[in-house]
Amino acid sequence: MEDIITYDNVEISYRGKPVVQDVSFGVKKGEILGIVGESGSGKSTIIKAAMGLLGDVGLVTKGDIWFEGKNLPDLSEKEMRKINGPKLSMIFQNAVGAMCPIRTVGAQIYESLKEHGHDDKEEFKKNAIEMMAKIGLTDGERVLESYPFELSGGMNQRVAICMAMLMNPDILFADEPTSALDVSVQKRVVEEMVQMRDHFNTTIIIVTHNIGVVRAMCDTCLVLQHGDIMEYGDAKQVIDNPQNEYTKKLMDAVPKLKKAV
Amino acid sequence: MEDKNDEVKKTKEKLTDKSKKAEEKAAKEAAKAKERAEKEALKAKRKTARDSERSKKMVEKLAKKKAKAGIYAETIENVASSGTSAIHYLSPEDNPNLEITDDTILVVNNLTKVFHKKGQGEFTAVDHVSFTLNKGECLGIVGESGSGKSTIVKMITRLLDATEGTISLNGKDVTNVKGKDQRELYKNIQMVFQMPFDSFDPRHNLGCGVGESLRNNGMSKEDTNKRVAELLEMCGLEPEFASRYPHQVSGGQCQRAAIARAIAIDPEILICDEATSALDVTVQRQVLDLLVELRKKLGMSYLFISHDLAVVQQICDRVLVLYHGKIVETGTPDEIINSPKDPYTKNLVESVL
Repeated sequence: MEDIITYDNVEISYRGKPVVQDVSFGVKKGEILGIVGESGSGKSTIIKAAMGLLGDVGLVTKGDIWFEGKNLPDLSEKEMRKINGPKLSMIFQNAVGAMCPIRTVGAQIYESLKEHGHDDKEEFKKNAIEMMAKIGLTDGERVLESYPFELSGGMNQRVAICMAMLMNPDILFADEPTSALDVSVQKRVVEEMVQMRDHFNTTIIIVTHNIGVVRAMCDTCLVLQHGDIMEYGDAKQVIDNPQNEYTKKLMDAVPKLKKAV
Repeated sequence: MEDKNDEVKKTKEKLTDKSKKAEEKAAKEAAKAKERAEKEALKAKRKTARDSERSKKMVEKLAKKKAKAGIYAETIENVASSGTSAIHYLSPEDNPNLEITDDTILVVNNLTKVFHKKGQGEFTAVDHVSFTLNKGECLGIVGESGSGKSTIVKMITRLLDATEGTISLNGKDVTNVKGKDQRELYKNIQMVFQMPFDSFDPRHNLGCGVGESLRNNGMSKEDTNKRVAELLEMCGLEPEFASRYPHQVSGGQCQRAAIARAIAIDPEILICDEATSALDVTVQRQVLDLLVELRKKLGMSYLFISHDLAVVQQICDRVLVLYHGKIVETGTPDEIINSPKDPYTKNLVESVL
């Protein structure tokens, strides 16, 4: 199967200083890729580059990111706006912070849909409640009428997933989606994201520092250190049988729950 | 002559009258005093009777408890012999959950915190929590966010007032200490916070933060600088880090400095409130190793708060599982992880990826 998105020798710089060098990988349809590494290793930068979210100081200085025959860094902001949302979606670490605090969750989800041509309010409500039920928000009606601060962190993150998935994107980028959540909620969100993949065959690229999350949901895994790829391959292989020195050190440092079987 | 005699007689009579009156007065006073003394004696007698009855009751109560749990032998002896020394540990409603021994340094008894939210009524964040911390022990507190972990710590460190219950350190009630006593408390309890950068003053260098407690306790500038260099080295940092500012160091280095700051005053108890949660796994490992090493070296007790069961398993001797402000389970980490009894604990253990 062909890759849906391909990074080709990508170098990304902030203020002219390269933070990610020579990164190449491809992700297939329906695949879940986990990008792991310490803070400052350039994990988030890689997915921000695809979404065009590097800001004023960041720039893809070398290489291409291919998606549907287009090189994403070359596209204008106008063209990106058409792709971001219906084709590429993203969820953030701090879901509460990513939403507008003074408008209801429903109004915000509706706005994002309206921008991309789905402006039937009744249909939106039906779809949204249906989608929420799928990811474990049983009381959809009430959630839509709530403000972000009235919901818990886990619920907000699920609302964000719902918002991202309503457009049925080809690729879902997730930037540390579970880091701010409790373990029990984290597990549910992970399970729901895997379910999303099973339902819609969505490609998911997840950035995390939690090796447990990668083990639980990813097919492939990419380990970064200081912007260089240390190891890339099958997730189980990389986690259980690391070849690279740094990966070995990283996996060794992960606190593991010792359970008597 | 007669007149004179009469006068003399009169004055004599007057005098005798006076003296008689004085005598009477004195007698009255003596009687009063006697009465008073008798009353007081009676009072004292009653009081002692009551006291002895009380202590008797206490002993009986304890004996009952002892019969139940078989753990109070020592305490009862203390109560019987010294009267008050051990009573400090016990609240009016003495608590069978508390195991108090000679090594116990911190006793938290029926601690409760109720927050009053405007228009939303009351919210009980911590609900009658009791536990003890022994010398050299590492006690873990786990639970999800909102379970009251940090609220407990804030009450112990006097950052919040307790609504109910007592906290005693080395037998001294510190639940509501203020002013001088509160400062005294901080010589025994120090804390390492979750956010290393936020816990340092951005306008002062790390050396200033680390040495602050020493300067506050009257150490000279020169000695403080020497001690700060030692402390930083103890925590795996170069002495030069004293002149750096928080934004010039990495998260792990900053957390090491925070640990150095906490141990500067040589506290008995070190409270780590999610001290490693914001760090990368590799750095977290190093910081945990440092904590284990310092505990061996200095014999401190830790109150280790975390939501990560795997970390708790690595360094704690005993764990409390907190849920909605209540302790649902206690035990060694292995016990709790391998055979959780409470459904919430079970869920927590199963959720670890």
